[in-house]
Formats: sequence, C-alpha cells, structure tokens
Amino acid sequence: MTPRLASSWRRYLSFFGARVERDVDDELAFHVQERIDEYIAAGMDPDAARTATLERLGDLTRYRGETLAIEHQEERRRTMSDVISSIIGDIRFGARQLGRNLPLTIAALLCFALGVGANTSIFSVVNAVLFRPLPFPDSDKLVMISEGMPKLAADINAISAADLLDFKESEGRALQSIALVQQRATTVMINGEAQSIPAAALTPSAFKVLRVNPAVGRAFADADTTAAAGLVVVISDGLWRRQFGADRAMIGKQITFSTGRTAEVIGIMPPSFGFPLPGLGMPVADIFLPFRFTQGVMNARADNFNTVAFGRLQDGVTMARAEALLGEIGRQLPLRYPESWGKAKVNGGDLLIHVKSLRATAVGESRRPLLVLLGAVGFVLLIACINVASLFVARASARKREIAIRKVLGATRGRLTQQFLAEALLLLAAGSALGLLAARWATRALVALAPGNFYSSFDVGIDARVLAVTGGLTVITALVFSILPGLRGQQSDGETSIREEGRSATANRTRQRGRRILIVSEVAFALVLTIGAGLMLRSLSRVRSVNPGFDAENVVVFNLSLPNAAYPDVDRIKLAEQQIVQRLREIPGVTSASATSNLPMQGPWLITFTPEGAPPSQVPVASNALVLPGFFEAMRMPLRAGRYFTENDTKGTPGAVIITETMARKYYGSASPIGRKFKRGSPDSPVPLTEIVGVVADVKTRTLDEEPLPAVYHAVLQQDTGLMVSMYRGLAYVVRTRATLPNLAASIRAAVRTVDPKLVVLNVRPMDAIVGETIATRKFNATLLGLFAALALALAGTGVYGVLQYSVIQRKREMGIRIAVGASASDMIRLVVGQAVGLAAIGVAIGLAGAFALTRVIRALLFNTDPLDGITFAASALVLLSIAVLSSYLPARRALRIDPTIAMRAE
Amino acid sequence: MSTSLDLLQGTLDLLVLKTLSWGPAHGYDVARWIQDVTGDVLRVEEGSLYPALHRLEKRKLLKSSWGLSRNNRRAKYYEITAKGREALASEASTWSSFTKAVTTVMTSADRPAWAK
Repeated sequence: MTPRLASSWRRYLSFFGARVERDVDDELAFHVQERIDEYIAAGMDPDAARTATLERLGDLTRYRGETLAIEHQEERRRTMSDVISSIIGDIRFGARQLGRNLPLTIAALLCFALGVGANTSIFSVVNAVLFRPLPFPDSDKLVMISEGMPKLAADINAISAADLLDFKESEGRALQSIALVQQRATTVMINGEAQSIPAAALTPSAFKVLRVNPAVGRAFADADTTAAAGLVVVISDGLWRRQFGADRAMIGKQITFSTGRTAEVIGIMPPSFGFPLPGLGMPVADIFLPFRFTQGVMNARADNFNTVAFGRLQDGVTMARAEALLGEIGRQLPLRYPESWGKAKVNGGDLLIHVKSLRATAVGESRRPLLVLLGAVGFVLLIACINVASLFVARASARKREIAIRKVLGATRGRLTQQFLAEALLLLAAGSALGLLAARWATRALVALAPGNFYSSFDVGIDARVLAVTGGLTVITALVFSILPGLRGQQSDGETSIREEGRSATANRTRQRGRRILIVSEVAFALVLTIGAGLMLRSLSRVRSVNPGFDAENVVVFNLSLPNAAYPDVDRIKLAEQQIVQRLREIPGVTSASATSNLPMQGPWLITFTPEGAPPSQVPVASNALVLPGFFEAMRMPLRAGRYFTENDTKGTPGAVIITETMARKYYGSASPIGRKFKRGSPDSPVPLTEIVGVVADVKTRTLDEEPLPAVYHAVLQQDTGLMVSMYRGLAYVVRTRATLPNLAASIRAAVRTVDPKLVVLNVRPMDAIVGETIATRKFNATLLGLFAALALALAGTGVYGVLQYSVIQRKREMGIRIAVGASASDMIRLVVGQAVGLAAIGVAIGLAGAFALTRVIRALLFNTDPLDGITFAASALVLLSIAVLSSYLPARRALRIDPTIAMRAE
Repeated sequence: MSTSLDLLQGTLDLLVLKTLSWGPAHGYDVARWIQDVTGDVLRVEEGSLYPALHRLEKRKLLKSSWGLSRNNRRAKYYEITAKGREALASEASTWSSFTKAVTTVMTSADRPAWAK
C-alpha cells in the first residue's frame, strides 16, 4: 500500500519533471510514508490513512513550490509556473473546502444557478429582439415603407398595393429592391381534413430584398405572377416537417385548397425563416403565395391599404434620403392617378411616405416589457448574490481560525485573497454552468410559450454576447461577494483568533452589522419586485374584467366560406347563409345564432365615412361589419336606441345602418341620432346615403385594452355590390348555447352538412379564447414577472432563514446564559423573531421607497392601474413581513432547544 | 542576529528552531513534536513546515544532511547552528516579553485614567 502511494506521488511529481527537485520530493515523500505508517499502526484502514495524510499535509503542490522557490533563492519573485501551480493548488484546496460543507455549498450553488439561469434566459431573448440584427443578411439595410395621409391617420403602416409599381421606379437610386407582403388565409386539405393555415402573399422580389432563398426548391419568379401561370406555393420548414413528414419529394407535388384549387409546391424555406415579422401586424405564415397585381388590386388604389411594403436600401443611401426620394414619387401620385389619389388628396391632404427601419417595426411595442423583465431578473440575481454572500460570510467566520493560522504561518494578504477568489470562482463558475444549462431549456420554453410566435422570428439563443455577460456576472459577483467577506474574516488579529475564537459572549459587532445589511437589502429588493409584479397582475385582472361590449361566455364561433364555383350569385349566397343560421338555431341547447363578416378582435375592417352635415374636409375612419339578422342578440350587444336589424331589412327596403355609442356621440353629437344619414366613403363617393336605425353599445374592436373605435354595421341582406359580396362570401358564425355543450363542433358540422355537404367548417373555437388572445402578451409578461417575484420571495425567505439560523448558532452561548438566568421560551422566540421583523421593517421601508421611485417605469404597461396603487404596496409589504416572521420562527425554535449547560461550554 | 524576526510570520520559524534545539531531527519528527507538545491546538498544515525549514537553512540558522530513519528510509535531518541558537534566544525573549505585555493588559484591573 505505502509503496504504491509513494510511487504514485512520484509519478505525480514527474509532471514537474525536474531532477534538481528530487531532494525536496524525496523529503516530502518520506513525510507522507511516515505519516501513513503511523495512521495504519493506529488502526486506520490504508485508504483512510492515505486520505487523512494528504489532508493533514495541506496543499502539497503549493508548499513544494514555495520550498523550491526558497531553494532557488527566489523567495520574492515567483515564476509563472509557480503562480500557475499555486493557482491549481488553490483550486484543489478550494474544492476540498467546498466539499467539506456540502449542504452550504449546494445551497449557494443553487441560489446562484437560479439567478444566472433566469438572467441568461431573459437576456438571450432581449439580446435577440433588441440587440442582434434580424436573421437576414445585412439586415440593417432593410426598411419598411408606408403611406399616410395627415387627415386620416398619421401613418397607416401599410401601402395601397398598386403604388408599389410606382415606387419600383426608385429601385437603383433609393432602394436596391422593394417588395410587398399581404396576409392571406388559406384552407388546405391535408389527409382529407381541412386545415386553416396562416399564409402570406409575397412579390418575387421579397426573396431578393430579404436575401433568403428556399432551402429546397426555388423562389417565385416573375412568370409565376402572371394570370396564365399555374398557382405555385413556397412552404415553411415548420409546415413541411409537421404536415408533410419532411419529405424532400414534396417539391413538384400539389397541395389542394378546400375550394378545390390546387397549387404546386416549388420551394421549402429554411427553418430560421419566420415571416412576416412580428410587429407588422400579421401572423407568421406557413404558406407563401405569389402576389399578383390583378385588375382588382389596381382598382383599389388609394382605397385598400392592406399590404406592407419593405425594401433594401441602396448602398450608401440613408433612410432619410430614401424617404425623400420616395416622397417625390408620392407627390406625383395624385397627378398620375387623378381618379384615386387625386380625390384622396382633396379629402385626406398630402400623401406622406414614411421609411422606417424594419427592425424597429418588427420589435414594435415589445421593447419596454422586455426591459422591465430584464430589470426584474436583475433583482432576482442580486438577491441570489446576497444569499451567496451571506453564505460566504458565514463560512469566513467559521474559518476565522484557519485564516488566522495561515497568517501566522506566513501567508500574505494577497495570498489569502487569491485563495478566497479561487474558492468563489470555483463555486460560482459551477453555479453559472448549471444556470446556463437551465437557461438553454428556459429560453426554448420562452420562445415556445410566447403568444403569437413572437420570439420565433428572432434569432433567440445563447450566443457569445450572452456567454460574455454571464461570465462577466460570475466574475464580478465572485469579486464583490466573496472577497469582501473573506477580507473581513481576515481582518481579525491572527494571534487572538487562534486562542479566543468564539469566546466572546456576544457575537462580534461588525459581523452582526453585516448580517443586518444582508437581511435589510434582501427584503428591500424582494419587495420592489413583488410590488412590480403585483401591479402587473392587478392590471391584468382589470383588463380581464373590461366589458368588451358583448358577452363572450358560452359563445362558439367558426368560419365558413362559400366557394365561387358552387355559389356564383348573390341570392344563392344569402340563402345558404340564412339556411345555415337556421340549422344552427335548431341544434338542441343553442339559444341563438347569427353571422358577421368581421368578428370583434379578429382584425377590423376600417372604412372612411361621411357623417351627415359634416364639413367636407373631415373624413373619419370607422370599423365596419356586415351582419345577418340576430347578430346583436346572439352576441348580447345592448341596444341603446332605435332597433336591431330584422329579417325585413332586405334588398328593396331603404338602406339601414346601426352605429355604436361612440360614433353617435362623436360624429352626430347625440346619443340617439335615429333617422339621420350615413355615407360610406368621402362626400363625393357614389355610395348612396343610408339611414341610422339603431345605436348599440361600444365594442372593443381590436383588443380589450384599447379605446373603442367608432363602428358601423350594415345588413348583409341589403348588400349586392362586388366588394360587399366578397366580404360576406365568407362569414364568421356565432353560436350561443345555454351551457357549454359537449360535441358542439360535431353538431355544427352536421348542421352545416344538411345545407351543403361540401362546405368546410373552420376554426371552431370559443369566443372567450379570442378575447383572451388579445391580452395574451399582457398575461405572458405579467405571469413571467409574477414568477420572478415568487422566485425573489423564495430566495429572500431562505436567505433570511439562513442568516438567522447561523446567527442563532453563533449566539448559542449568549442564549445559554439568557436561559440560565431565567429567560422563558417565548422570550427567546420574541428575541429572534423580533430582531428579524425589525430588520425586515427597515427593508420594507427602503423597498417601498425604491418601488415608489421605480414603478413609474412600468406605468406605460399598466391598464387602469395607478403605479402607486396603495393596496398593492400594502399587500406586498405584508407578504414580506410575514416571510420574515416565518423564516425567523424556525431558527428561533432551534434556539429553544439549546441546553444552557452545553451552550455555555460551547466552543 | 541583528534583524528581529517578524513576530507573526516568524512564529512557525520560532517553533521549528525550538524543536531542533533538542537535537537533530527530520521534518516529520518536528511536525510530530509540535503536535504532541501543543496537544494538537496548533493544527499546522504539515506541508507548511518545509518552506520554513528550507528558509531557515538558507539563512544559515539550520544545516541539513541526509541519513537513514528508524525505518531505514532515506530522510533529511536538520540541525540547529550556533547562529540559530543565538536567533532562538533573542526571539524567545522577544516572544515572552510580548506575551507578558499582552497578558498584563488583558488581566489588568486598573482602569485607565480617562475611564475613572
């Protein structure tokens, strides 16, 4: 046994491989052998003897290095290899020290890993969304182009598609190339089942602008956009994998739409391609169709603004320059197209062209919530660091004796600092590694769970910058939170510490102050975070309780479109739609049913209109919908004046419209403008005047948390013109039931089948889900913030618990004396809990002040909630105080178990 | 010895010199002796003894030679030099006057003037 150890020791030394060193090595080897022999003689088993010997010797590598340095007359100047070997020694020693107190080490490790994990995952999202370029080559040259008319709205964030052909004139001067994207809805038959799949139409130039090509197959060519060409599609990698089993032979195959049309798949995009980008107001598409400039598109110039233009700047051209060049074209449009832009100019003022960075548009309004979340995880990390620091302080105090002896043995201050840093770095690096692993998983979860696939269009991942930030955090934390307590431990005088360690009746004053600061700051940080999360959650519950203007409960909606081929004329469409509604009403349990062209919160159809008697310069915008009779009753939209539509409002009766309260008040100056006239479009548009027959309550058209838009409703049965028919060929049906019905979807399909078995029922879902989606981002952010606050509370609770627990152990002797002189159990509890609550109260005061200053940052994110909401502040303060009571009660009970006679002899 | 040893840093040196004043010994013996005499209160990391021994040898307070141990192993024996004995004597008196002074302060019942 001993020779084996000796030889392995020598083999270990041969790494350093110097013959000059042989004597020193022999000398040390002799010591090792003698010590082992003695332990074995004392009855230890050989392995234990070996371990105990190495323990006893301490850091051999380092001592050997120091001895050699003396031999080489280099006591002061240590060579590089000595420094390295002493660092290696420090790390080994550090690992041994950490292993000695495993529970404490693991606690510190987990605290730090949690903090780092939360920070890294949020930062990698922030990094991708706010800092990293969009995942396209040279993406800083990508811009969005939009048109606006000062009198209508400042900026409509879209253009009238036909104008793209005019803007193309600037290609080569302002822009290298320019492209269009338009949201489409497609219904594809996959394995005999109709599936609605988000789609987008792109001009062939889109691939050139974005500089992305299909991973398999080809992109659109100009020939694909001609009327004669067969329909072709490019599909996303996601759709290809999900629905077509990642089959490369998909290229050239046909997909079939529910209308019976087919299209050839010509390309599959790479996995990283997520388009349209979030912030453009369209869902990320899985199917891309070529955009065609049909006669209809050309006729809708200055009327339809449902396409988004984007382009790539010419090298050396700034956004301002591009805006000026495109603006010149914009000013010519009224002259070129007097019938469309010429008239719009009269009503809407000059046409404005805006060129904005595509990046800024894509990020949209997500910037502030992300920064708030980043701040929140920063707080979590701070609290985690304070926990780690308190553990280090506890360790440093416990190791006072060791430190003192090492000082006596000649260790310099620098040497000790190096030792502490090595230990801290070892622990925190392990914690960071653990945190990074957790972050990898958490980042994926964040991307997957974010509403509307928001993050998936960005390149979210752990990159060099994220790693650098995590590494930097680790090093800074190690420096600040481990060396400081380490140095404090060192300050004690070596001589006295060896002999008088722990003999003071009450714990050292400076150490107690340190502990107080830790408790106070943990409580303060956790409180700020809790208040922030509390405000967000309160705001969320306020949004949830907002009245959308209809009753979404027990309402199921679905989409259904009548194909052109089977339903060529207006009367057949209206008849089929009325029959479907009739069959739906006959389903047992259904109380009412109807249909609308535009369901609230599903993207409004905005129109311009002329109120009766308004000055001609004013062309306001309203949301519009075509509805079947019974719609308002089915949605339970309260009637404020006049009447609802009836079955009698048909072709041949005078045109009737129903408007909302806001519209009545704002544009007719009356709560009940029944009998007054309404006109769609500008004053000189050819649309006939219609009469207002009813006023309904306001409806949230887009989202729960917005101000209601003025809205106007037309009766489907009175509309016969081309555009209107195309709007009601596909309707959203609403079905109200008495209670939640099982198999309602199946009953709906059966009812529709009785009208026409070829019709496809799509997107059957409860109305409240649609309402919920409009506040999903709010909910997501509030939930995350709530999660971080919970984490902060848990960390702060354990931190306070740990500090007090340690403090009770340190004060064992004092407690023993108190019990011996007659202090009762409740006195002891009062002592510990009282002290903790006192400190927590200071923390609460500081935290309240901090929150007072900081909550204004989230003011913009709050809905109907005062950032200084008293109830939230009070409740959060109470939570923190309760945690302080709880986490001090347990150590206090421990204090009760102290046996005075043992305690007084302690140490 | 004209220069006085730094008290804290030199405490181990002092212990080593004192040990070897009883006669030549190898490093392991020195460690054992300090351990036995102090009842393991000064739980010195044994490895730290060697830099001290070599430092003292460099300063010619000790000299060394290789010999065989009781177990017939090759061991390095240290012996105190005349210069070493001088240093020990002067350091020992410094040490005891230091501890005496500290003890006096610590056990004094006389209040300082400003506290009366």
